[in-house]
Amino acid sequence: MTSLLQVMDLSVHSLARPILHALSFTLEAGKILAVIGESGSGKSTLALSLMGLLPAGFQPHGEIRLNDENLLTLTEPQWCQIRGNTLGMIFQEPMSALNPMRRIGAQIADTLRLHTILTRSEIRDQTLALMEQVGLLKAGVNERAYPHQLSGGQRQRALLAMALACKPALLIADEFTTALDARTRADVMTLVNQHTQTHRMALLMISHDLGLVRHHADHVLVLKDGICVEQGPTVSIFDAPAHPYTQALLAMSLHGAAHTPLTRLPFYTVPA
Amino acid sequence: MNTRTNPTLWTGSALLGIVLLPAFVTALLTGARAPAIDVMHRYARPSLLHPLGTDPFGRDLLTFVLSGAFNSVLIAAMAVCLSTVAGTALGLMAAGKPPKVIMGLADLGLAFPPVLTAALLVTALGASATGEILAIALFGLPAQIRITRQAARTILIQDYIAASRLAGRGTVSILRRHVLPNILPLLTVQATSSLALAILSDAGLSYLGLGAPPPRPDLGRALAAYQIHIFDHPLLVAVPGLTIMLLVLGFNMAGDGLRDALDAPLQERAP
Amino acid sequence: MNVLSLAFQRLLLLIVASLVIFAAMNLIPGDPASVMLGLDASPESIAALHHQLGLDTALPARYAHWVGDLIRGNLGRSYIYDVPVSSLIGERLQSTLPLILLAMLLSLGAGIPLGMTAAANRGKMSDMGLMAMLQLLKSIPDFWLAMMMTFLFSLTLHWLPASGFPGWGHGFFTGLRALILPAVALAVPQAAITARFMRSSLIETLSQDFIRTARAQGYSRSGVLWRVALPNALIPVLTLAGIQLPVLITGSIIVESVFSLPGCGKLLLEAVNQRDLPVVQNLVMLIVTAVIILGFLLAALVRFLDPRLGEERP
Repeated sequence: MTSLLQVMDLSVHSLARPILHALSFTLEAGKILAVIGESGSGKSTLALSLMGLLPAGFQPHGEIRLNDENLLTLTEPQWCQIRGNTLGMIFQEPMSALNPMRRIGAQIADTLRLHTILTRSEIRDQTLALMEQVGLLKAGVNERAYPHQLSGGQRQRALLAMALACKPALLIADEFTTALDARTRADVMTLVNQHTQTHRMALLMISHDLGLVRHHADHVLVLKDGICVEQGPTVSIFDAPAHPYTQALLAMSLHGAAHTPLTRLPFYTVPA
Repeated sequence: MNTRTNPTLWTGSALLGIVLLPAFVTALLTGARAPAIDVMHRYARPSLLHPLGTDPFGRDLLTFVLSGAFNSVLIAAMAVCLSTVAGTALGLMAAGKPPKVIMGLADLGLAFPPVLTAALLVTALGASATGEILAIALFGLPAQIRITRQAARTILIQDYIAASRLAGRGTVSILRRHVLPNILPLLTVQATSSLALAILSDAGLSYLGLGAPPPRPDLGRALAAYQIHIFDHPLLVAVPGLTIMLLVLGFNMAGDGLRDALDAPLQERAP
Repeated sequence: MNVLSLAFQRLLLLIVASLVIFAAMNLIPGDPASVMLGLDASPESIAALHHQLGLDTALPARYAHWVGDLIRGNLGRSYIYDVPVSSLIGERLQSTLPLILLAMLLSLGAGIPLGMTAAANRGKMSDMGLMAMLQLLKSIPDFWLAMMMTFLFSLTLHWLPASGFPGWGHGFFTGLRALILPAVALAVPQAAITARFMRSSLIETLSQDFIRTARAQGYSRSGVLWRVALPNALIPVLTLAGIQLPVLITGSIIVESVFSLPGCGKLLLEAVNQRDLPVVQNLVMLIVTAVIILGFLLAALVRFLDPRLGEERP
């Protein structure tokens, strides 16, 4: 049996500048793959090319096979059918990733509306079920709430509900825990983890949080400047990192620096 | 500010130059007064002596229109100066504190379009250039206050302001040393765009007879007087109107161009 | 700020505006009655008008009297026409109100789709061409555009009447025909402003993170434009419409003058020229009131549509 996701020789160029270089990896259903590396190493570009949402001017080459179908040959309408349906994605900024003008119930229901032929009341029931599942109802958030009324963790849960609504085969999570505090981070991660087990969903997580990666991921892929320097089972990467870059990354995390990613330190402007 | 590769700014400046250079030269030579009346050459067709012909009083249309353009720009510039100075001062005052009173004042300005203010002032005091300038400035004030306040607030939350406050600098000193120099480019952009609006307002007011009174030549007043000649002497209506339009277009484009140049560093964000 | 405190703020604004108008009309140096009647008026007629205007009472009493009358709907009496101001205004609203309404509809109806077209083709030749055209239209003085359109459509092509307003008595379309050119002239620059604003609002909205979220949910390119971005992008355009309203109202005064429409604008100018103080004072107050109230309704609508503004923020 072939793997759920097979990426072969994936390269992405922007204006002839390589962003990703000949990347190959596979991901089985129900497994978790973590992609680690510094900011600017091409992690987010990888996530967006898997979703077919690369910004204008970015050219992907190679193959991305999902259930043995090459995604890079899909037409835009075909992409629209699988996005949100077999492919789900959650983003890193829960503050701005939700539409401020719409109720979160409606936004969660959107995924269902776009990909199912359910009736209005069925969609409503499923939306409520999803909100229960991600722990929003328990937190006292109802479907008529607006994003600005929610905390960061609650918004991330709402985004998760939107991504999980159609039970995707693959969930891509781009640093979705970065903006959360430690407690909420663990809660949300547990939630995603349960889903990978009960629905055999594969998870591709991009993270700076090496503690989280070590605890949850099955495989790890280390990216540096668009090149995969090392990949393998989590245990072997963490216990015996082969590449000096990986060693450096792990060393930094041991000193507790990984929780605040290097390039995300607050940036102050001082007048000249 | 990168102004070299900015076609909008250059086109705008060129349009302004086409009208303003000859207008300033005319003003220097004639004091922007109305050209002499010459009853023998009323409604003259364009000729070497009168490139655009003459008006119903035999006055040279080109000289008349250029003087009118000069007067329009003068009035608009004074109105914009007034609203910029007052608006910046009020905007800075409103930047730190809860803005209730000053922002309420700003809303008041928005409820008094120039025509209404001018109608009140003309009825009470008679037509005057001062009244017209006040009327135009009042309506421009709210936008000026709002923009200054917004810009000042984005600077006041920066950390170096807190640092400088800790170093013992007072509020006035901070506004003068840090805020004002930083918002100066923005104020320039705003003033340029406001000039376009002010020229439009001036033209409308003079057309209605609510602007500066004769004898100084004025494009809006000329349009009101020449309107009946639109069929037999179309140049009399076309030229003053086109002149207003070129001025407004010039200031609009120059303002947009300056704004683009100002925003350019912000737009270079990574995808 | 919730709607109630907004309403309170606008009420205060209305009171301040009435004070400003009252003060301006009492700035008149000397005796308003002699100003109104001119130099060659007899002392008796001046004394009579003096009494009629209530000039023999103190300023605060006069202000209170004026506001009291306004609230009861009594707008005073025109000195020139010797009829109640309210009946004069009521007559004139028949052309002014439809004119402003038509211009507003045209401005939004043309500006929003044009702005969307430009935003959807961002960076292409069609976008740049459209933007250049809008820049040009935005810079045309509306009353001059009115003259040039009269020249073309009335005097040359004889499609539409050049001036005047026959009233609504001769049928709806006869009345409408007379208002088309004035409304278009009034609307063109405002539509250009709306279109440019709509374009930047839509481009700004399309660059936000939640658009990418919607795309990841499976929204198509056009779906995200129409169903996700458009409603958000329209909110600032509504706010802009609130600012354009006073511009349209005063623009109508100028355009009415070009087309000799018997509207409120013409009434105001006649009153200014003839120093008909009660008409000027009450008409200006009425227009300012309309601007403030309509502005309040639009602001309330924006607060209703944008959930973030509906409640107190920390």
